[in-house]
Amino acid sequence: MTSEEQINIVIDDKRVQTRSGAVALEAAIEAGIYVPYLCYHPGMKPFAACRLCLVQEEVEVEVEQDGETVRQRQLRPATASCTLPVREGMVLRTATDNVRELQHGVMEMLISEHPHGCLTCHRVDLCGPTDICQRHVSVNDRCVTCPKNERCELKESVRFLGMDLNSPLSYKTRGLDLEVADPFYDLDYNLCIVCGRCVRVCDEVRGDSAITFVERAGRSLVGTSRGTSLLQSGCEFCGACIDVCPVGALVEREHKWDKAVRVERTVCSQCPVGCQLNLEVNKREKVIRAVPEIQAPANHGQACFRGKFGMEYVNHRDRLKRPLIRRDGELQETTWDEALGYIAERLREYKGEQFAAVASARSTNEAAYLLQKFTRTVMETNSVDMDSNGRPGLTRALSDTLGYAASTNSIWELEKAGCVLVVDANVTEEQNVVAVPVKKAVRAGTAKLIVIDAREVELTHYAHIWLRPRPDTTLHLLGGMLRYILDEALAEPGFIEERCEGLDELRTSLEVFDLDAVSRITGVEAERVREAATMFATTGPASILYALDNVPQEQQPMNVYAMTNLALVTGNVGRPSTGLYALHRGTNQQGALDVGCVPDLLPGYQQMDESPGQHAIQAVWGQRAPRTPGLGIRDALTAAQEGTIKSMLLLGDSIDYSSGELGDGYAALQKLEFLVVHDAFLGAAAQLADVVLPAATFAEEDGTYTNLERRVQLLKRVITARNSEAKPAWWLLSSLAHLMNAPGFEYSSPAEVFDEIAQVTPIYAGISHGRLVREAVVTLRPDPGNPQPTQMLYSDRVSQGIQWPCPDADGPATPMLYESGFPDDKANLMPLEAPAATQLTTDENPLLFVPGRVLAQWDREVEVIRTDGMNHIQREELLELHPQDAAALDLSQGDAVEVSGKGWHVSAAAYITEAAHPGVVSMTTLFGELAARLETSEDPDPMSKISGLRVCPVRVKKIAL
Amino acid sequence: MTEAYGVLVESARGHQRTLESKPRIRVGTAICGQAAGALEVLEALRREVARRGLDATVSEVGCLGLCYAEPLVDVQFPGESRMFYERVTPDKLPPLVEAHLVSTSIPMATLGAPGFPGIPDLYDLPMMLNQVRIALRNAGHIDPTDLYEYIAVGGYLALDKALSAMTPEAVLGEVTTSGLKGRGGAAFSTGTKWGFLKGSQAPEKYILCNAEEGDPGAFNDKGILESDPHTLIEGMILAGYATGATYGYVFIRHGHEGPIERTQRALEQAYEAGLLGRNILGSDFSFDAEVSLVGESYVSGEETALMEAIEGKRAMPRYRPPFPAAVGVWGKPSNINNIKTLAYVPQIVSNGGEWFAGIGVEGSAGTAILCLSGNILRPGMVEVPMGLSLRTVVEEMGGGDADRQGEVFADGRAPGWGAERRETGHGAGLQGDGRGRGHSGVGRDYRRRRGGMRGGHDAAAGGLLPVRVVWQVFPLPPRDHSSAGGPGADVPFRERAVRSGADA
Repeated sequence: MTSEEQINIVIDDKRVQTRSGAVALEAAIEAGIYVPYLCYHPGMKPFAACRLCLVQEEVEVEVEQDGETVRQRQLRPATASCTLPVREGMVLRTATDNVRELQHGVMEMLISEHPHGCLTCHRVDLCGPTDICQRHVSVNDRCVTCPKNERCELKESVRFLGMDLNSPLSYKTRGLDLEVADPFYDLDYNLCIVCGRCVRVCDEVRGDSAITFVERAGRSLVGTSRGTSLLQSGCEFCGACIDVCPVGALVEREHKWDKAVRVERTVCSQCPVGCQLNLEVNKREKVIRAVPEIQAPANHGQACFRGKFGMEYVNHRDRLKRPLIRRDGELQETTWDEALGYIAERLREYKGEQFAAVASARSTNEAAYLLQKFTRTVMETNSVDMDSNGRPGLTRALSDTLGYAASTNSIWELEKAGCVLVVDANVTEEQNVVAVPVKKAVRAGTAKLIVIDAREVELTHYAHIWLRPRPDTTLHLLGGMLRYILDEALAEPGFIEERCEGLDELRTSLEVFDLDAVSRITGVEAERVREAATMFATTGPASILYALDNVPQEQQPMNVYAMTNLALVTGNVGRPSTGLYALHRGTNQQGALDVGCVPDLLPGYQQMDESPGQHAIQAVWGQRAPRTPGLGIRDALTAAQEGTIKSMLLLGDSIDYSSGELGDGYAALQKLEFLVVHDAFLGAAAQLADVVLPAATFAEEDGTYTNLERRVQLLKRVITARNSEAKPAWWLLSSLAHLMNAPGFEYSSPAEVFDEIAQVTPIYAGISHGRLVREAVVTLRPDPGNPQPTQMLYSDRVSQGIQWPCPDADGPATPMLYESGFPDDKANLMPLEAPAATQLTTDENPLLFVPGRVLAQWDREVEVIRTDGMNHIQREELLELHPQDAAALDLSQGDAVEVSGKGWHVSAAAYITEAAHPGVVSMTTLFGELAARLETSEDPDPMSKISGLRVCPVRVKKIAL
Repeated sequence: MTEAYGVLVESARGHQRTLESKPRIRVGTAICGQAAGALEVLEALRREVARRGLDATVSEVGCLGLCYAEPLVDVQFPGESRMFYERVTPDKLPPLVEAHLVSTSIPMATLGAPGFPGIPDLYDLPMMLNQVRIALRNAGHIDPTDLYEYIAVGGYLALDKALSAMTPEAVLGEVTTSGLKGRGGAAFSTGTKWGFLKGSQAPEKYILCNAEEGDPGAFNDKGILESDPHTLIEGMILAGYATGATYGYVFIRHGHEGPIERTQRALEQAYEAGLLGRNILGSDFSFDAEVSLVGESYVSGEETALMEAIEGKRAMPRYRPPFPAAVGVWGKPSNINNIKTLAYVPQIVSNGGEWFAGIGVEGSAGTAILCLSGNILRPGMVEVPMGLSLRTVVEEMGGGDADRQGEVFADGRAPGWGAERRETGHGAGLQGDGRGRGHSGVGRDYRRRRGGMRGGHDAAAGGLLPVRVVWQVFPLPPRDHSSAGGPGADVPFRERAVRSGADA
């Protein structure tokens, strides 16, 4: 299956071109020939359990006839097409009498344990839930009362096969209770047909194996291996099992009974992966479900708990509907005209250095571009930034070494990587779908995984090597690995020679990183560092994922240099399945950076000095940007605190200003003279504002997002909120500029805004909304003559997005950077500087607290308690600490302790272990707790409030039990 | 002969001499013996020997196949034959020891003894009469927990021969020539199957031995493991050598304590003796093996389900292709053989493929290992040449139906013994139709049933003999007309079965 070659086969007299390694069913689906199936699902290994997808192969045989040998065409016995590999010249029949007869038999057995009174009735499309049924089918057993009605693949298959009343009406009732106690899911195994899709997707695709088959033979069903709740079994609530379930057994609890009237595809706004989701909309214009798109390039049909269950905020009744203006200290409803007029008038006073603007992490490229253009041309300052930009070094440092400030390769290349190094990143929670190909490759045994993280996070459980340094010493570890690789000649001299410069300086700078010193500082055994370095250097191709969660901001660029060096010296740049992935948190952070929504760069990473690009921008804008760099979000907040910035315009408020990463943001906002907030909710920042404008969410606007693999993807307006005047940011900014008499803001649609972006941003030059729509993968929908099987319900044209740089309108995109060279000819190997020891702790809080969160801890039991019909995890958390610290605190094993940091405290049992670093305490909680909390949260947008796992100073004291 | 093997043989002979210098008492403690109370007998015997201060060795052996006679105890003086006592109970022991060991007279009727004047010969017993023991050659004769005893009777000689004088191709050639077919039931040519694995260039390949044996009434796999585990291990190593595999798994059903324990002990001994592990017997060939135990479920006996089980997953069959020879356990090329298949291999390599091919009938070489169970006069385990009629086995060797009104059933998914109603007087050949040489229990139902061999459900309801449904018994080949005889002999078996059912 490694080398794919074209193969020609014939299915039902139709010539079909397919590839070697494909199975007959795939070939048929690709050719638009419908073969009923229930257990097959694209992206998973065939299972051959349902036995519906039967076909017959036609072969030519020699037979004796009247003493002569003649060649005759014969049909071979029917076989399952999902496990039948294609061969050149194969001839298949999908609809012979024999096949149909067998399929009927198979289906009769399948529905013998599934309510089928309606399935086999000719009135199935006519009856309602309350009709009197002449066949006495109980209301509970009717298709029309099933949450999956009309999305049910079993029903479609029965329709296709034309099952009739011959089947007996009674079926084997399992009599199981509905399982509703776990978050997000409603499970009704009475409807299960045991096709195994959910078990397989959880195991094969997601790598979690939270569910499995239980019992044997006729009693086989799906469940958790020890019969526990999903919270305990290591479920990450990604919803993949629901998405593949062909019947009503697994469904989303929220909007369970709602029927969709249409399905629209857009890009998820929860994180920078850029998953394409099919959002189902009901007749009241509510988003009722999110189903990830199988053909989408960034997510391959996968989503996560945020994307799958985090869309409810779009429908929330607390959404702002009309602009609010502060009168007599109270926010009062007003009209857009009045609000905009007032803002235009007031903002005139603050032109120049008194103003700053901040885009939201969820702002589209168009909104971010217009915000920086507005700030630069109308407000005449460069102080524009995005609120998620807490770690500017993460991507920006890449441009110093490689050329572009962006991740180098595509997400799903990770599936083929030989080694993946993950540095201080909680991937499974923050950028969940990026972890999917990594877990898949590790479980398939094709990739080695090295995790460098002080915290215990999900990927550490999958790691072949988990290096657990002191939280602030990641750079030493990376430096140590780098030096070992160079010293032991594990590097690729050819690649360095040809494509890099600065090796000598790098070598010199590495002198301080000898393994003994590194081991002493980081607390990681030298042998382990050697092992990791060897594995990384020798198991190619190797990729690096990093978020640098545990690294102080000022050290982040140096860490990025270290990792770039690692990739460069081992030749892991510019090749498939290699490279660096900067895992930032903002949904459209890459795009906002690309379009210049930062204080020191113009669109397309152009400097503010007299460069040709600057002139081009000036030509388009009719005006030039101020020359001096402005203030980023941190500095702007500081300046606001100090009073030099007097007015701000905030798009969105999804950032948590109280997290500590940005200081005390709310206090700073309070000091402003004039604050405008454009938000979907009356959040904490909006409550401080002078004017609050209702914002359209991602589901209500057109535009583009650029994901973390540089893929520009189209957002599509999915709903039009009723009785609401919420507007998208591009409209707000155009109108505002118009009112302030600024030229150059006459746009009639985001597509026009994007065209301007393409004009001034060379890397986007070849991209347009039109091209994004045009360049789509066409997946076949069955023709009108065929019944419409649910399997293809969502299939049509799926835009694949375009990965920049794409300078020409008809030129190619760039899935992989630096394949043919670096922009500056050669990549820079940056010399490393060992950071000065940073004081992360304070006198008041002398210990470093390292939080962790995993799906399950195998060696620890969990108790689940039922309250209000819901499962909740209850267990005593353990605080790991070193014997030294324990002695200082007079603690012995198992003592109750209280950990308190800034504004929070939590109690736990002391677990004293030599494995902990002195001065560092750590605690690992379970993801299930978080899931249960998200489910029951009253917050309109709980998914955006998930606290990251930040290392912070704490104090620990013993408490009485 | 390799130097290392020479050393082993020397030690084995020395060990054997020590053993033979004293009177020996052996007790069959395979599962059949244990069921009949062999462990109590053994304990009582040890007590008795100790009490009297006799200088005799008490050792355990496996199953001689005469399960009906268990607990089976035999006494052997140096230089003399073994003298067997059947159905020994603890209370019979003191007089037995007193008479035979102390006053050295023979106190009571014995079951038989090989070549002892005045006492019926063991091999003249009806149950032993037609046997040709290849895989079971040591069963009931040697102590399965003693590697030296195995070596002393020529154990690992084949391995030594292969490693010192044969290429892997030659070993494979002998197996192919022998015409050995898979004893798991599918009767696929073992040599061909090994050839598939040999053809794979992967660095890691596995030899799996399927000893799941979940079939009710069958205990021949367990019997081999309990009676002579080293013959299997030697067979596995030879399979590894022939195919280039370096790792073996013996998959035994969880809960079969006796076979598990004896196999594990045998593996340890083989490692200690340098017969497993790196550079076996000083050669370049390395092979490792372990016992894998996974949950009890009948389906784990299916080869791919077994692989899933070995990998620690739920035993569920995989679809094919890919076949195990390409993608097997842990995704690596694997060869899976039934334990009986592998147990033949040492003798095939020692004596040559031609020798094996000469046993049995054309198309079905070698012997069949059968378990007789149920309501039969002499339940037991026999190894008979292929081609012997089932009637001979059941009626003559097994003594037939205990109350003379039963039917014969051949158990096992695919063995296809041509068994038939006795009334038709139609003896069926064991060679079957080319498919029929599986693992097997042969049993008799205790009650007469209507309509001939109908199968499983009724039998299960009867509670004695689970038997499969009739359509799993395959049609007989029309080849052997002369011996078949009777009306409708040329009609395929299934049809006849149906027809006779209709008649009744």
